[in-house]
Amino acid sequence: MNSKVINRATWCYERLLRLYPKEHRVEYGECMAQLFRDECRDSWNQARWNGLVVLWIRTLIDLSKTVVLEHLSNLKGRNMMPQNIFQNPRKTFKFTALLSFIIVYSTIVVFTLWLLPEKYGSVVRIELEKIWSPSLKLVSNPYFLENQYEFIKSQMVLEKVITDLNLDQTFARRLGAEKLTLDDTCILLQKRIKIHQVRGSSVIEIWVYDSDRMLAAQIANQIVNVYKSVAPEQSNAIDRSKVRVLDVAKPALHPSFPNRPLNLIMGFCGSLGLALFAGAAAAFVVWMWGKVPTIPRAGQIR
Amino acid sequence: MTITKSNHEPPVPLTPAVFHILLALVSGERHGYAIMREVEETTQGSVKMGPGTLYGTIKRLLAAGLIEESDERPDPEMDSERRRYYQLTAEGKRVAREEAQRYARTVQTARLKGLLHDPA
Repeated sequence: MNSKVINRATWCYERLLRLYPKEHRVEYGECMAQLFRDECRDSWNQARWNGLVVLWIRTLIDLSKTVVLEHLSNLKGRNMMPQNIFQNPRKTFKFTALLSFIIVYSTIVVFTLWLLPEKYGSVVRIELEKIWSPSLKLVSNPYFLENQYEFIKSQMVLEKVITDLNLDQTFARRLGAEKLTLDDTCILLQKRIKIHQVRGSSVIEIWVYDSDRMLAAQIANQIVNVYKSVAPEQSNAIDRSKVRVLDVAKPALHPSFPNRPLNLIMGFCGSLGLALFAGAAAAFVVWMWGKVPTIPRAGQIR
Repeated sequence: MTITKSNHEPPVPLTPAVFHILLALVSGERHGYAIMREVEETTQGSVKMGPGTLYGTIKRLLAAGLIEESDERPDPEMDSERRRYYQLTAEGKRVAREEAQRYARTVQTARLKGLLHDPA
């Protein structure tokens, strides 16, 4: 029984010896396995299974420490330790560039894939047709469309949108606040809205961005509904317009932000550039340091 | 592991594992298991080296020229398996002696300060 237990334990230890560097394993693997077998025999003779368990705990601690030590020692022997790398500008360049690239690009990947909050954009397209008043005849306003942008984003329109969709409560919940004022909610909503004109036409796009894709579409459509209802009442007669909805806003299938593929490609290029710069800077410093003459300490001159 | 090889530089304290291995070899050549048992007995169980520590230290001592491999043969008091024997080199003896003298000076200082009492 005891030889079977000892043989089995030694077999397991021999498998663990593969963690050591090959050279060390080839030179001392047999001796180490032999020593472990002797220890197993002693432990078994003294305290049976208890002795064996204690021995295994001690051996695993010893193994985990010395595996790391031997691998580091192996690197040192191959001049791959940091202190050797930083004596050679070329090695410094490679090491610094590689390390910088790994750190920067992995940070970008983690942020892009997991940490950056997603935002979905929904767009509603409308055509604005100016209402001509007979009394104004040929008077035209060159800033007609820009005025409409401001009107769409004005409190007059947005407060109604907020009230209709209970956006003050929605945004307050997200911020962990009990309540938000209409003014504060208006400010938050204005930051989510972007208005673009389709070049060469009177078509404008109203984009709304939100982490909730359904809500983004709802807000965009509600903005147009409210705008349509109040647009004819604008006090400035020159700017009165008729609104025709060309495309209703739909919930987006994919987030507009972050643009993951683009971020990853740009991040790769940016990280590469930064890594090359960092490597070159470090290599330059090492090269300059090598040019500095060393002053011998007292006692070293013979 | 940096160990001085000349008398011009002050001796560097040895790690406990290194010193005890050198001490174990003072009385003659030993194989790995015997070294480990002797260290355990002389330190009354306070220093226990696993195979990784023992042979990692032996490797470094061989590289530093403080010990050398003497033979490979079975231990008559154990089984018939062939074991690698190690012995101190002259340099190893010198380093062990210097380390022991450093300990002695430390013990002397402790006695003078009343931390330790003279056994005599």
